[in-house]
Amino acid sequence: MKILYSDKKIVSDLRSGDKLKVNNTLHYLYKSYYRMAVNVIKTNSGNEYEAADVFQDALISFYESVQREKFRGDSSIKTYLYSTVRNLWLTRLKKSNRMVDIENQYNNVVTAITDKDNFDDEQPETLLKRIIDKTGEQCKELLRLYYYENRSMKEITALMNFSNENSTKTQKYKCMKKLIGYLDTHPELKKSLLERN
Amino acid sequence: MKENELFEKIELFLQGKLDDNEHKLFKKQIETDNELARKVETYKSAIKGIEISERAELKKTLQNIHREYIDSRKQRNYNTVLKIAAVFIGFVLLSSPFIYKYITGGTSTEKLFAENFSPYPDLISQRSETTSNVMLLEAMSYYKNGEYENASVLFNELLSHGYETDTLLMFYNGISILGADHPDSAITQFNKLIDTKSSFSESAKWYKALALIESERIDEAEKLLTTIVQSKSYNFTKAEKLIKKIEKLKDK
Repeated sequence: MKILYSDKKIVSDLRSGDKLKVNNTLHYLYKSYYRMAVNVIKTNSGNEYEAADVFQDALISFYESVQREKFRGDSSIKTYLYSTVRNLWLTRLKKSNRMVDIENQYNNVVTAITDKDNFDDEQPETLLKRIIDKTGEQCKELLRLYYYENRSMKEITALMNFSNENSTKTQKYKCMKKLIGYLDTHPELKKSLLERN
Repeated sequence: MKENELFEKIELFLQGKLDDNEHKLFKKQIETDNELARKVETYKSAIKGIEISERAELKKTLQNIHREYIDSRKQRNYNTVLKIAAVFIGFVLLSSPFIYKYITGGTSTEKLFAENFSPYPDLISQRSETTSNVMLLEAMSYYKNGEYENASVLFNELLSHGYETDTLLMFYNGISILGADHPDSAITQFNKLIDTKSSFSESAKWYKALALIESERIDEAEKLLTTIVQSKSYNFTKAEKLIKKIEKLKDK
């Protein structure tokens, strides 16, 4: 039987900090709205490969809006995803100056791949991952919760079982110190991060 | 200043949380102190790095979900083939008229709905301003292709941005919601049109009756269909036939 999640439940599960719930919700969103994204992109001269990539970026944008409490439920999740997919795709189309012409499909795919490669500059990303991993599991989680998920010290204290907010704060300082120390030894990476949007 | 205090100040500065005076003062310090400027830049790059790295992790998770989704779809297609085979065997078994009649008996609300539901003709494309509204064209294209879920998202978007009082769009929205299997929300939409006695309130009654059938509220559907027949409004001959079928269904 198909399980139906309300928008409210989706948002609260994504904000729960429970990895299993987050994962299940992402699966649910994928199953529910992927075909919609494919339809939008196919009717605007895209293909399924491009649709998957754009849909994943739209889900990331939705996830971040939820964590930063910017998604307030003024519109439905479906509408949010629909407009994000559409806007992201139209921006990509404009960027690559693509013509809505079936004969140009092959060139379109090539352009999309080139765009993607420029965006996912492999080498600095691998180095970045290695550096963040080097701070240790606990630091990685703490920094993720604070800077990516926009959690308060109080929430992090509870989620990570620290004794009190002060010790969470001290721990966060130590983690940042480690990360900054590693970045100082890689000035090129630092520069490329500051250049990113 | 201790290092942890400096970190805290840098963070408040980057988040724009220092008060105006402090912000200006700190900015000036950065401009004159190269070492401080370097520390602020590194701090900023660290935050950026965390964001980029987490985004990449999330993208990887979603790519895995995508693979699982595609695999499950393939599996589903395989299961569909099995189901078709089963239906075929069932068809052979039921081909004896006696067994067929004995087992299937008559009709169901689902069947009644499917037999009678068809989209209202496209009146939007005839409007002169339609061609300049890409979203409206897209909505109608989904509507005509039977992709009602997508159509309703767009109609909703249009109805809340500039088309708030457009009864024709409200009507198509209701039909799309009904086509997407949400009869209760569709009833709410049709009620708005019926209550305001708009140009589409008569046609909305027919679709509301179908929505009631889909929700298995057949008594209410029958009552509404009777008023359609009495006032000889939109689809009244179909309404007459439908009432007969509803009565048969109730006799079962």
